[in-house]
Order: sequence, then C-alpha cells, then structure tokens
Amino acid sequence: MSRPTPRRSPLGAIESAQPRPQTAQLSERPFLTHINLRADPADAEALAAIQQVLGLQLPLTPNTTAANQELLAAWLGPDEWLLLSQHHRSDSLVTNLQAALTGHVASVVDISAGQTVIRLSGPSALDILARGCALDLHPSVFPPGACAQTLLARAQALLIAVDDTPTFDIIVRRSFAPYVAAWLQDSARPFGLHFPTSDPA
Amino acid sequence: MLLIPCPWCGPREDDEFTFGGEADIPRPADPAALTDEQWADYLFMRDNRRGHHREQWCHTAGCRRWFIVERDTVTNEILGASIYGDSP
Amino acid sequence: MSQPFRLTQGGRIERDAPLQFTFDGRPIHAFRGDTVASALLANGVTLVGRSFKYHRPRGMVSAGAEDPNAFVQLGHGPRTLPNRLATVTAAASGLEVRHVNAWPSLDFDLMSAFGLAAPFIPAGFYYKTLMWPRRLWPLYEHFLRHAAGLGHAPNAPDPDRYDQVHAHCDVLVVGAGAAGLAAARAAEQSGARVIVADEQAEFGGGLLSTTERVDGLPAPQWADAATSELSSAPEVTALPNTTAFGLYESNLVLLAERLHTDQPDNAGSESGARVWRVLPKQIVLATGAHERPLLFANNDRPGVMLAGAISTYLNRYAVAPGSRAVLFTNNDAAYLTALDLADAGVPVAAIADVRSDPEGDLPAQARTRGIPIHAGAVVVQAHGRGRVAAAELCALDGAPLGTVECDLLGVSGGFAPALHLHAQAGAPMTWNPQIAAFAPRPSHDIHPAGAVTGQLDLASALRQGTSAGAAAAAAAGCSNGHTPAAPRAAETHTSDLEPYWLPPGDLARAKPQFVDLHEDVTLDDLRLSLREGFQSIEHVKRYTTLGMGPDQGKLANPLATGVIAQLLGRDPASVGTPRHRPAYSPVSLGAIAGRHIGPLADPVRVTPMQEWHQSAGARFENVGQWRRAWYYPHPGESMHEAVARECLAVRHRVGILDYSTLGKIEVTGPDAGEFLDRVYTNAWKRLRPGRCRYGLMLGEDGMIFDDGVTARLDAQRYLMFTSTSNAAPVLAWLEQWLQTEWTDLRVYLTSVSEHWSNIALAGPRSRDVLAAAGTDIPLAQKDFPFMTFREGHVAGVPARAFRISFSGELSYEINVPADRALHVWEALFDAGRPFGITPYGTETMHVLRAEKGFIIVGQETDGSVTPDDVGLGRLLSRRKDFLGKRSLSRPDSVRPDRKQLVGLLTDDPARVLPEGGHVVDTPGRRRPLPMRGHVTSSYFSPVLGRSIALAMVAGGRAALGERLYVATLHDDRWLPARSCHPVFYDPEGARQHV
Repeated sequence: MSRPTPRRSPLGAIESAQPRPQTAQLSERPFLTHINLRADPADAEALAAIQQVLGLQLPLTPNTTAANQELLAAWLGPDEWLLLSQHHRSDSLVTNLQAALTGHVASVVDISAGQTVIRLSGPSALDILARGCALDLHPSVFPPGACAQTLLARAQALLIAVDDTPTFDIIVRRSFAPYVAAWLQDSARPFGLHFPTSDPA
Repeated sequence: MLLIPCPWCGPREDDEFTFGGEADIPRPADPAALTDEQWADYLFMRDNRRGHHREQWCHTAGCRRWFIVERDTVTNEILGASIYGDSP
Repeated sequence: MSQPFRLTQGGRIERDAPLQFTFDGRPIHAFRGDTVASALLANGVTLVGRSFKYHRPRGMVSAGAEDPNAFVQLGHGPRTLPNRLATVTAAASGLEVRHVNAWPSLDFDLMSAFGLAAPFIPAGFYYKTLMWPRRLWPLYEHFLRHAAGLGHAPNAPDPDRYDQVHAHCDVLVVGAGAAGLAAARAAEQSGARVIVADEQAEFGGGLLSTTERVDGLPAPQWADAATSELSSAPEVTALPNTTAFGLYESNLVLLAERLHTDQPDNAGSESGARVWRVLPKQIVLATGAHERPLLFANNDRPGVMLAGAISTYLNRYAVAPGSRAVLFTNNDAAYLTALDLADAGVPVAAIADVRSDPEGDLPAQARTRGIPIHAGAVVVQAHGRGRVAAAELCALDGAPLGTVECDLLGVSGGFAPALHLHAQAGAPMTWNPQIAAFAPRPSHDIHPAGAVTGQLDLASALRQGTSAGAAAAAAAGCSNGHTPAAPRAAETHTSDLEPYWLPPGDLARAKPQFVDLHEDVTLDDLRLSLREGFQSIEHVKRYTTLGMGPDQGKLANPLATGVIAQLLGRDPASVGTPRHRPAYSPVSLGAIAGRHIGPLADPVRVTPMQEWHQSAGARFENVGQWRRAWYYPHPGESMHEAVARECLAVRHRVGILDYSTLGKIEVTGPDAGEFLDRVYTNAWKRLRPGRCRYGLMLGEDGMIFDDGVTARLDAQRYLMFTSTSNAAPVLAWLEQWLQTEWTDLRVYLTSVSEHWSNIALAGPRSRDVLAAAGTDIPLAQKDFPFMTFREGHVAGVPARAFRISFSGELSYEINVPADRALHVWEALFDAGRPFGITPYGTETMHVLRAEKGFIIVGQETDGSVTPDDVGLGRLLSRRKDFLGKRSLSRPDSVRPDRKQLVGLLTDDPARVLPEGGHVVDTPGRRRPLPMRGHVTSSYFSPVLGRSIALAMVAGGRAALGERLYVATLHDDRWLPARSCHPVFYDPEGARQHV
C-alpha cells in the first residue's frame, strides 16, 4: 500500500526550449510543498513556535517573502502565509507545524496538489508579464523578495520576484495553469519564446 | 477604472476587488426581537448617499481582506481606506 | 513620376526613397516620409471623398488627426481598415487606399443628388420623415445604411494579432511637439521614468513644419536631436505612431500604437496594433491645438484648407496644395502661412483679415513682401464646383470687395486647445477669451503645456514644456536636484485674435455654410435646432449630430460653441462644449479586445482527469469556467441513448463520476462549530468527528444561497463542500461575516477545492469496486455507514472517503490529492471492469438526482426560494439563530401561495416537458393567463421508463395530484400533467443505506 504512485502536475513539467539571448525561459516547478498557514500575528508565542519549525521568521510586512535554503514563506494576508518548499515533505511539515501550534489558534493546510509554480526568467520576463499583469513590476518597485497576489490576465496568481535576471515565480491554482501558461506563451510571441503546452481542452 | 487603496497591499485596480455595499450596518444582536419593519430596514434600506460614502470592499484577488473605503459618489474620488476595527 | 505639386526642394521626405501606392486603383507616387494625404496632394488629387449626408465633394482640410474629410479605407479582405485618416497614415509601398463614401464612384456620385435636395433634408429629417409607415422602416434603413457609408467592415475574421500591455511611469507626456519634447527631456533629466507618445510617425509635431529655430538649430533638426536623446535614455519609452485615445478615472490612459505601419495594409504582421494601458503618476498634456475653420458659403469645397495645414504641407512634405492662394483669418497665424507660400513660390492673391488693424511682426512682414492685405474684410463665399476657383470678399459692413481667383483658400479662425483627453476625465476647463476657446485648467496631476494652454508661440511652448516636465517629475517624487534649462526660440510679437463666428448681416443666411464637415451639419441646422428649443449644446449635438462623426467634432465643436453663443446672444463660456468621450480617434476593436479572444477569452478550467475523459470520447459542457464531462457516447449512440445507458448502469451496477469541481473549504478553529451554526440553517456543534451532514446556507433575506455536505474532520476542523459554481462566492461570503461582523470568532477558512479531487462511485456495486481497487478503509455497513467519512488509502493514495450520495444509490465520494487523482481514477476504473463500471457525466448526474427530488441551487432555486419552498423546512433549527432566519417569518415568506417544489408527471409518459415552461391551471388564449409556476428540471427517467419533471408551483404542495398544464415554447401547445411528490424513485431512501 506504500508503493509510490505517479504524480501528475497540471502542466506536465513543461520547460521551454533553450532561450535565445534577450528573451526568457519558462518552466513549471512541479510537486513543491505548498502549505497554507494561518496564525495570529499578535500571538508572539505562536510565531516563535513557527520560527522554530521553519528556521525562519514569517514575513509580517505585506507583499514580502522570507526564505532560507529549504523554504520560502510568502505574505498572503495579515494572518496568512504560503510556505513553499522543495526540501520539506508536505505531510511532515504539516505534522510538525500542527504539533508546534498545539494550543494556539492556527491553521495548517496542505494545498500542494492544488497549485503549481510557473517560473519565468530572462531579460524579457518583465515585458511578457506586463501583457497580463497590471502591477508595476519594475525592480525599483518590485525587487527580488517582493511578492503580490494579483490577476494575471483573468486568473488569480501569486507573483514572487526571485532574482534580478529577472526571474518570477508565478503560483496559480491547478485548474488555471493551462490557461496561464497559454497566456504567457501568447504574450511571449513577440520575444521569440516557444514552449510546449498541454492542451487545456 | 478605479484604483482602490487596499490598506494591506496598496493601490490596486478595481477588478481585483469585490464590492460589499454600504458599511456600518451592523447585524442586529437579536433579530427575533425586531419587528418586520425594523428587520426590513436592516435588510433592504440603504442611504445611497450623494457625496461621502463609506462602503465595504474585499481585495478578492489579493489578500482576501474586507475593509472600508470612503468614496465620493459624485466624483468617484477615494478619500481613504481603513481596516475593520481601526477607528474610522 | 507625376507629382505636379511637389516642390523641388525642402521638406522631410526622403527623395531617394520613392514609393508607389494606389488610390481607387490609380497609382500615386510618393516618397518615404509622406502621408497618404501629402502624397495625394503632391499628385494633384484634391478630392478624397464625398460627404456623409449630401455627398458633396471633399478634400483634405488639415494635416493631422482633426481632419473631418480625409477618412479612407485601407487594404482589402479580412485586414481592411475603414475610417483611417489619410492625414496621419504614412504612405507605404503597395498600400491600397480607397475612398469611403461615394457610390458608384468618387467622381460620379449618384448620391450627390442628396446635395441638390439639401434644402429639404435639414437636421432631424430622417426622424421626422421616415417614421411611418412603420412597416417600411426596414426598407428605409437598407437604403440609408447604404447611403450613409462610413467605410466597410471586413467580412471575415481579422487574421491580425493585437497586443496589449500594462505600463507604469512617473510622467506620461502626451504629444511630442515642442512642449512635449521639452517636457519629456526635463522629466527624464529629473530622474523620472517617462513614457512619451505622439500620434504621428515622427516626433516633433509643429517643429517639423516650421521655419523657426530652437537653440540655434532649425526646429526639425532640434526635434531630431531631442528625439534621439530620449530614445536612448534607459527609463524613457518613446512611442511614435501612438495615439492617447482615452483618459479615465485614476488617470488610466489608453494609448493605441499602430504597428508595422510601413507594411501594406498592416499585412503579414504579427500584430496589427498595440494598446498600452498606462498608469502614470503624473501627466503632461502637450496635445497642441487645432486650428478653427471659419464660416462662409461653400466653405467645404476642396481647396479650402486650414492655414496651418498649408504650412505643414509646404514645409514638411514639400507639397504645394494649390497654385494661387487666398487667406482668410482673424489672427496672426495665417500670415506665417502667407510667408511660407510666398517662399515656396505660390502667389498669395489676398489676405482677408477680420481685424481692422492687424499689427504685429508677421503682418508687418507680409506687408513688406507685398502681399495684398484686406483689413476688416471677410470671405463670404467660395466659388467653384469640384474645387475652389475663387473667393468672394466682403467688408464687415457687408460691402462687396470683389472676387479673387484662387485654387487654395487658407482659413484660420484661431486655435482651440486639444483638451479632449483632459475633458474626458471630467477635469475642469475654462473659457479663455484671449483665444476665444476653452483651455484646460491644470490639476495636481495633469500639467498642460504648449499650445493646449492657449499660448501658441514656440518660445512659450518650450518654456512651459520644460517647467511642466520638471514639475510633473517632482510631483511624482523624482528630484535629483537637476533643474533643466528650457530650450530657446525667438520671441515674436503677435497681435490679438478677434473672435469671428457668423458672417455679417444677411450673409449669415447664405447657403450652405458647414459647421461640421463630417456630419454635414450646417449653420441652418444649428439655427433650426435652437429655434425648436434644443439649445443646450448637448441637445444641439443630439438634434443635429454635431460632432458625432469618427472625427469626434475636433474642428466642429469649438466652432459651434462660438456660433451658438452668437445666435443665442450668450457668453460662449456658458454655452460650453459637448462632453468629450473616448476614443479621441478611431481604434480597432481588435486592439481593444487584445489577447482576450478565442481560447484566451476566459480561463478554461479542467480537472486532472480531463485527458481520460477526452480519450473516453466524452462530450463536455461548460459549468462556469469549468469544462465538465457531460456524457460519454459510444460510437453511434445519441445523447439520449448514452445518458439512458449511464443512468441504468448506476441504478443497477456502478458508475464513476468526476466531481472534482465541487468547492471545498476547510473551516478550522475553536469556534468552527459555532460559526457553522450561524451560517447554516441546521445545527453543527454536536456533529461527531467522522460524520457528515447536509446543510443549507441562506442569505439574510432567507433565500437559499448554497447547499452541500459538511464533514467534521476532528474537534476543531470541518470540511465544507459547496456547489461548483458557488465555490468562490461562498468563501467570500463566509470571510465577510468573519472579518466584518463576527471578529470574535476564532475560525480560519482555507480553500482546498483544487488540492482535493473528488471521484464519485455510485451504484449497488460501488463497495465492491472500492474494495477491489484496494483500500485500508473498512467498508462494511457497520464500520462505514451512510453519512460518515473515513480517512485511509485508496489505490495506495492517501484519501478521504465520504459515504454521501447525490444519486440515491450506495455511493462513495473519494477525495484524493489532485496530482494523484488520475492514478486513483484509473485504478478504480480498472477494478470496476468486472462489475460493469460505467463513467457518467453531468447529464446523468442530473437525471439521477432529479429522480430523487434533490434540488440544485440555481436550477430549482433562483434567489427567491426559501427552504420551506423546496420542502426542506425540517432543516431549519428552532433552537438557534442563523443567517436569514428572521426573514423566514416575514409575511411574504409565509404566504400560503408561495411557489413550492412539486413533481410533474405528464399524461404522455414519453413527452419530456420543456425546462422553464410555464405552468397553468387551464390552458386558453385569455391574456394575461394566470401563471401557477414554472418547470425547473425535466428529464426522461430510464429507470422509471417515463418522463419526470420538477416544478415550482404556487401552493402546489397542498394540492398534490392536481391537473396542470405546461406551455411549450415552439408550437403553442399545452401539455397536460399531474403534480406529485417530488421524489420519484426509492422514496424511502433505502438504496443509499445498504
């Protein structure tokens, strides 16, 4: 019963062909651990317990992230964070957090299978995103480490500025992933970016 | 297009938000004690004010927080936004 | 090369880059740098179209976006573009240009008979005359549509792709003439992120057509230098060929950029146009001013042209738009044109100046050059049919001054600021008597500069531009201590303009005098409108169609303000101007739609099992944004046959359904039970962990809002299912109560809709299938009874299995993480083969639930239905309050004649009632026929071998068994039926408990 079962990401872990210079590359980062964490930011003890488990302090400033080697925490709301990790298994992270938060009002929910990460990286990444995102993502406004929940075309998305290549991680709900990928592909046409997409329907 | 200042996320375009109607209409503590008229007043009657209007918005596509916006219904100018629980 | 009107030297055209395009099939020779209009004029083509209503011959009036006549059709086939202005369209090799409004041909136009009939077709003619007989309107309309040609829409889908992009900047500069270039430079030097846009193919605006100098350089040369400086600045986006066409609330500015304008009819390009959606912090409005036309008889004749446009054609395009000119003016500008004409060797036969004593530098120069100046004189009529042949002059007292031969009549009635963008946003403007026009009033985030302020001279434009650019940058928070210096130009002494609206005395009665050339609105039309009581400028507009053309009345409106003021004896400031609305100039609909077309029009959401459904041959239906498997026809099977087969499989064996789209919300916290008690009509706190319960959620008005099953996961956690389409609204609704009203409740809500896929197994053999697929969950009835859930593994995957049923059969809804859902689905399907497992879609699901009388929110309910109306009054707790409870005792909620859920059985068991069909007591032709209700769901039930329907019928529950009739939509027949209890199959509910 513990035989591993095949997992399927919404985009089949697509990866664009080697980018031409001055364009961008797009790839799915499938099967990361995604945990939705809710806790009272005024509950210092709870925050400390979380820090103990995660090895980092939850970001309390809106639209920022905190990260270490194993994990990234993104601010989603005044009492809500997304934990993203390639390193931690979701079940053990949930168990550890829940154990640490016993007696506190908090919520730890595994949503790993419900969303995916699309990474867009390269000199044209900003121009491509600007086709569907109304936010000002200029590095003076949205530097690496910034995050924002917003609309990308007609889908809700969490954007994270990763580095100054620039690289963006775009976190979308699973069922919206084909639409968002198709949108980005279309937006990228003027920049010579091509990659396979799964056919949404 | 209205830029709505989310108290948490800053100004965002209006399609990220959901409108929640007039603010400051608390739910009666004991609805059963109200007459039909009093209940109907709570349920249906709104001021539809010309000028300064306090109204509820939710940053649906963002932080999912409900907050209060003060807007001039004539000019559509947004005069401020506040978090629930903060003094207006 | 026949360009008889091309000057031998000068201009910015590239004489070593000749090109050729066609106008109505005729070859037109041009150079790179020409517009279509300048090339036509160089080739001696002065007739570009026929007017909208009277089909009078018309030519170019201007050299820019304000032209009311120069609308042409570009290209052919699916890429054809109607209503493009020849005056702003770059001439390109191979371009196909056609006139838009003449039939059968431009030179011989049958419709110009309307022109002869002009006295009989005043404003409002169509409204008044073609109203009756009403049945003939389609005929009239056909003829009018044909007559009122505004070009032809393409008759095939547009193959072009249109781009849209969001942009942000500190300072947006609209217009890249002298003021705009100076502003953009100043803002950039202050460290601001700048976007600067201009509708022309080259930056420079008026600088490109003037002989003045800036910072010691010829103006065009300075413009080129400033442009290349801006283009190379890293934080400047310079956009030529780009029209700012709309300014909206929050200072959102929409720009339309024409792409690949060097390609014939934009063909073969990736993209036809790009819309920029710019949110600037500050705006510099350097949109310039439009020269105002003047009224006289036949002022629409080809060859009548704005004076400034003549200078532009001469200086920028090296084209002489005529061979002998007369100028008519009320200000100094026309004198500059007179000098330009003289320099180009075009004789100026006369200048008629309204002013009695035109002094100032320019008139003095004209006098020195020996140009005849008639002070205190006006042009009252243009002679000539296809083109101006002479101008008739008159003194202001009406005394004739003779007729002067000319083929070019330049007019200048002063300049009206192009404040369209400013006014679109509802920003304030004021009447400036010095220029007799409205000018924008600056605001904290909009900085007008240059001619748009009413200051027309170059030195002022450069000064204002520089200070506006610096001020805008500072207001946007950019200041690096750098104070940019304004470029310098010679100061000129100008004399004041004298407002002139109507010809003197009876000459104002001469016909026809056009106020709006595009819409063929004459002075007489304005008089008629005022006489009939339509005196507000907005009423005049609607009565006469003033300013309603694709030119948006850029020339007509500023003129009309003065004319109406004089006719009414009022101050022009009080007359105002019609409300300016986007778009400033025509924008392709494709550009506005952008990428939101075809498969990207709206997200298409699919479940992890989508590929399986497709390969199984499923047909799909849209449920909101979701694409759900509808039914799975076998080869040759009709929908009816497929659904019947799927229904019977579930009733007799086992079916499998992808129900992943249901909303799922985890409700966590010490007060989760209390919270559910408040939002659901029934009680939750005492539900034991491991158990499920069906709940109804009401709005505060007592009407059903959503329904679904909620399970208690443990002491502080519940899992709530919502209907597919209500997943987002329910979460928002719950959050609203938690965040705004019940802030003391310690509850967190997290959507897990997409994490958990949901696979339903339904039918008497579903337990066998689940066991065969492999599970560590004990499945015996005593271990896992109806309305409970168990956690464990299914097919090796962590799962939550719920024994709930939407079909009335033994059923399991199995939640597994979405990334392994396809694996579990396939395992269940394989395990089910020996049991005859059948995939079923939403249609079968609907039939099965209707057989059981289960409601669907949004189908049986419509926002006006209470729980009692659908027979669910037993779910209303008496011991607690809940949202909507108080409304259930309002008098309207307890009326005995409310519509109530009943079943309907047709007399003819084969006949399926139409959903939405009206239910009546007695059929008949009486109108209005009293309605009892309507059919909400209707299907053929394979297991019962007959049709069934659910209906909402007034007072229906107390009268079960009554005779009712249902209207059919198509053949006006009434189908007899009897009402019955709304549970058609297994009313005891025994099957789901086995």
